[in-house]
Formats: sequence, structure tokens, C-alpha cells
Amino acid sequence: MSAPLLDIRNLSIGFPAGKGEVLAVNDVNFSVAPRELVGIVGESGSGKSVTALAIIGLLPPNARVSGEIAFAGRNLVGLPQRQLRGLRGKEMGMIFQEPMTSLNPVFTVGDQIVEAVRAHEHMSLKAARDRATELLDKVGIPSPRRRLDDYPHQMSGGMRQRVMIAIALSSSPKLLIADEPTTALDVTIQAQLLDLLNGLREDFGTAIVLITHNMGVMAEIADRVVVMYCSRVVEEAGIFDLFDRPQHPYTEGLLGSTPDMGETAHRLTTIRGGMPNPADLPPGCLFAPRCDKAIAQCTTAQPPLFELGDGQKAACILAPKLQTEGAT
Amino acid sequence: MTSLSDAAAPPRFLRTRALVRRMFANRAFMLGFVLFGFICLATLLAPLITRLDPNALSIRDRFQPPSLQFPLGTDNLGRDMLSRVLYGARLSLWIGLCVIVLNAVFGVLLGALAGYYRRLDNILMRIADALMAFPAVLLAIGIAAALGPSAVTAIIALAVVYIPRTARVVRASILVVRELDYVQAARAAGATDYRILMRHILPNCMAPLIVQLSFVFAYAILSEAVLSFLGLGAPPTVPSWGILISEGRSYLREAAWLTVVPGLAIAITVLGLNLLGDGLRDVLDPRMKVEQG
Repeated sequence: MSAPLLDIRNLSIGFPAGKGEVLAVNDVNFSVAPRELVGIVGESGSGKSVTALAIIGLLPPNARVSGEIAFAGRNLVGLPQRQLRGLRGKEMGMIFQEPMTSLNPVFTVGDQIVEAVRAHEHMSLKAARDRATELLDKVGIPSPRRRLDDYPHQMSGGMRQRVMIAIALSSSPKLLIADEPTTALDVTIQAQLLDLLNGLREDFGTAIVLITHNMGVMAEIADRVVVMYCSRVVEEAGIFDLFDRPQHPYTEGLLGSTPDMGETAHRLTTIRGGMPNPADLPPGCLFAPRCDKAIAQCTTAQPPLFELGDGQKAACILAPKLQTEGAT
Repeated sequence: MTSLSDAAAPPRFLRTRALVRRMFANRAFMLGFVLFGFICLATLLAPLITRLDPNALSIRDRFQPPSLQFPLGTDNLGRDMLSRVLYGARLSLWIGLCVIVLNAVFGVLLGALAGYYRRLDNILMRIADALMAFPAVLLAIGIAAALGPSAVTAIIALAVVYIPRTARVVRASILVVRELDYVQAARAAGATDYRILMRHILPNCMAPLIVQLSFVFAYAILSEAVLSFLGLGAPPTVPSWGILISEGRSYLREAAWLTVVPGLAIAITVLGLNLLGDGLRDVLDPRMKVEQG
């Protein structure tokens, strides 16, 4: 793997709650290489969105961050807002879950793209408009020049998400963070957008961090997947390894609860229970109370991320053993 | 676009033509527009409507009831009431206009600071609370009395009274808009605070502000009349509506038109502005719409 573009080391993010503090992200490590597409999956509240906000520097001011977020060799943790703002939009972009509300309703789509283009680069209005047209064309909006003068409400959700992508790509960022970009869209549009994101990776050389809770979306385009559970990384693996031989029972559970087109219909498995209250965590492995394979040892200590070869890592004490036995 | 799909589309006040059409389809707005428009037009065209000097004395014509020569009668010094009311409107409307301009500028400024920079919020809003704790007219009287009676003090007093209210309205809508996705998206795109405030937040807070200002206009005219009535407004040489009522009060029994006419002028203006504001609110901010039968 070449030098990582984004390298997250021991990242912990806490929020004050009552007297103490609740960790939304706990000792998270992962890295993203240039042009790589890394997916982060996990339930709601697993800390994936907070991680994304930390990368782009938009955490609420009461968040307490420790660890390191190295972006192109520069640690972003503790960097003053002024410098972070220079990075945002220029070196990294972000697209959000809700395309319907992510555009300012009182300005035309063209105005907003032009604004983004000119925010980081000095160019004439006309040149910026040409660039905006080009961007809309790139993200697959037909007759882009005419569409520039549309207001957001004149566009569908899928088109608005394309516009958001165009805005995020306006300065050819090195990193694009996509926080559930397809969740609010219907399935056919989802597939088109995923294709688009994948294609842009080639065209713009952008690395993408894709956050989703949809394993199907992951399977479609991710190179590598980071599985988060309850503020921690529980498994990290290449996409094929993850689907072929998941090592953490939680990952297995996620995969088991995803419908599979290829196989004959069977009842989808579910993961019983819910995530523990972050203010009142169980001892040992955080997943143990919901895990079918849990043994006595599981409740004594939090397992570290075991290296399992081929870049696969899992935080389960059973994982290394399973590996040697060759079981799945 | 047909009117059907217009109704379904979100409220966008920059689509001017559709907006204007919807405004004039609103009965309250229409009526308010006609009433207030009538007053404004009469004020502007005062020299054409009457050729009589509002301050010309004519002792022979004291207390003339309305007649052909004096359509609205004359006062205790024989001055023509029609021209006095028309020229008085100039001062009343001018004061109202100055008050809403000051309100718009300082209300938006303070409201934006309080709503966007949360640290200033507590300080600014407590000051606003303190000012709002006084009954509006009482506070205006206090300020006007302290500064000495003149048109300018009336404007300052009324601006001070109403700015906290406008600032509150602006702050409230900023608190809502600042949490919206497109503001977060603008932040993620590296926009500066100033840019986010000016481009993304304030333009989306205009509707409640416009509505608020139309009401402030009405209140300002009303309160100005109160101040003038109490002798704390413009000097009596310039007839404002409040002064006219104040002067006419002594002759209420003999010459009721002296108070009724300027009173009606105030009532029509305030009613017109209130209807205008109600209509604007319904059109610009349908979520706040009051159920109509």
C-alpha cells in the first residue's frame, strides 16, 4: 500500500454527558490510500458519522478529541478552524444524507456551484459558470447549461445529490467523505449514484470514505471496509475477505441480516438486542451481551484488534483461533 | 408552471411573479394593500388634493363642520382639516418609515449576532428582555421625555422600543436555519462565517422579518400618535396625527370631526398595515398560517 492519504491513529472523541463524558469514538485506527474507497459500516450511534465529522473538522465545539488524524501528512487534530476551513472544500469535500435539504433553497443550483468554485480559486464569473456546467455534465445531469438556472426545488432528490457531488468535487479534492449519500434515494438512483462515485474516483483521483449501514452498497464499490460497533472498530478487511470470511460475529450478523439475491429465500437472521448505552457499557467485549458465540472470557477484557493477515483485523478473541482452525 | 404545482412547491420568495400572484390572491393582503395604498397615495398627492395651506389661519372660518369648501371641516383656528390630515400623514408615515429602517438594520444585526454567535446570545437577549419588560409606550415616553420632544427623539424612542422585538424574531429564525443541512454543507465546503450568515442564513430568514416589519410600522405610527398626543413628539407647528387629536380633544363636544378625522386616518393606516402583514405572513410563511374558515 502506498503512503496513506488519511491516517487515523488512536482517535477518541468524547462528549460531555451529565457529570462524566461519553466516548462516541473510542481508539479508532484506520487509513485510506489515495484513490481508495473505504467504507465504514455500523448501526446508528456506532460513531461512524462522528468520525466523518472529525475528519472534516465540523465537530460541535464541546467535543473533546484525542489521537491523530493525519491528512496528507498533516495532523488535523488541534488545527485552528481557520486552517481547517482552508482544507474544507479545497482538499476534502463532503456530501450528506439528505439531498432534499442540503441545497440552499433561495439560490439557483448554478449560483451555489459557482460559489463553491470561486471560494477556493480566483476566477471570473464566466469561467466559474463554464466550470459549473462542466461539473454538472460530469455528474451526469443532462443539458447542464440550462439546469444551472434551476432552483433546487425544481430538481429531484437524485439530481440534487448529483449537484451536491458536483459542489464537493468543484476543487478536485483529494478526499471525499460521503455520509450515507444514497440512503434517502430509491434503489435505482442509488445504483446510478454509486456508479458515478466510482467513476469519479478514476476521473478526479479522489479517495472516498463512504459511510453507510447498507452492506449491499459496500459490496458494490468499496475496496476495504471498516466495521464499527459502539464507538470502536471491530473489524477491518478487504471487501472480498469481509464477505467471504467475516471474523467478527458482529460482521457476520450484519451480513446475515442482508438479503441475498443469489440464494433461495430463507429467513434473515437478526442480531438480538440493541447497542448498549454508551454511558453504561458492559465489561469486556462490548458485543458480548448480544453475541451467540460469547464465552466466559469475553466479559473479562476488551479484545484488541487482532491482525489476521491480508490486512484483515478483528476485535474478537475467537478470531485468531478460528483462523488457525480454518473454520469460517 | 401551473398554479397547482405552485401550491405543492416549497415557499420560494425569489420567484417573484408567482409570489406576486399569490399575494394578490390573498384577501387580507389585498384589503391591506388597498387601505394602506390609499393612505400613501393621498399623502403623496396632498398638494394636488387640497390647495389650502395646513397652517393658514382664518379666524372667520373657525369650527366649520365639513362642507364643500372644507371637506373635513376646520379647527379652532380656522385651519382646513383635510390639508392638516394629509400633511400630518407625511410626518406620521415618515416617522414610521424611519423606525422600520432602523429596526431592519439593528434588528437584523443584533438578531444575527445573537443567533449565530451563541456566546453573545445570552448577553444580547437579556438586554432585550430588560427592554421588553417595560410596556412599549411607557418606555417610549420615558426615552422621549429624557431626550426632549422632537420628531427625531420620537424616532429614536420608538426604534429602541421595537428593535429588541425584531431582533428576537430574527434570532429565532436564525436558530432554526443555522441547523439546516445546507448550512452544514456550506460549512463542509469551507465557507467563512460571514459568507454562511450572509448567503445561506439571512436570505432564508427574510419572510418572518418582512412580516415583523410591517407590524412594527403599524405600531410605530400608533405609538407616535400617542407620543405626539402627550406632547413628546414633533412640535405642534408640524401637524402629525397625534397632535391633531390632541388639539381637537378640547373641542370634542362642539367639533367632533377634529378628533374623529385624524383618528380614522390612524385607524385605517394601522388596519391596512396589519392586514398587509397578515397576508404577507400567510403567503411568505405558510407553515405559520392561521386556519381560515
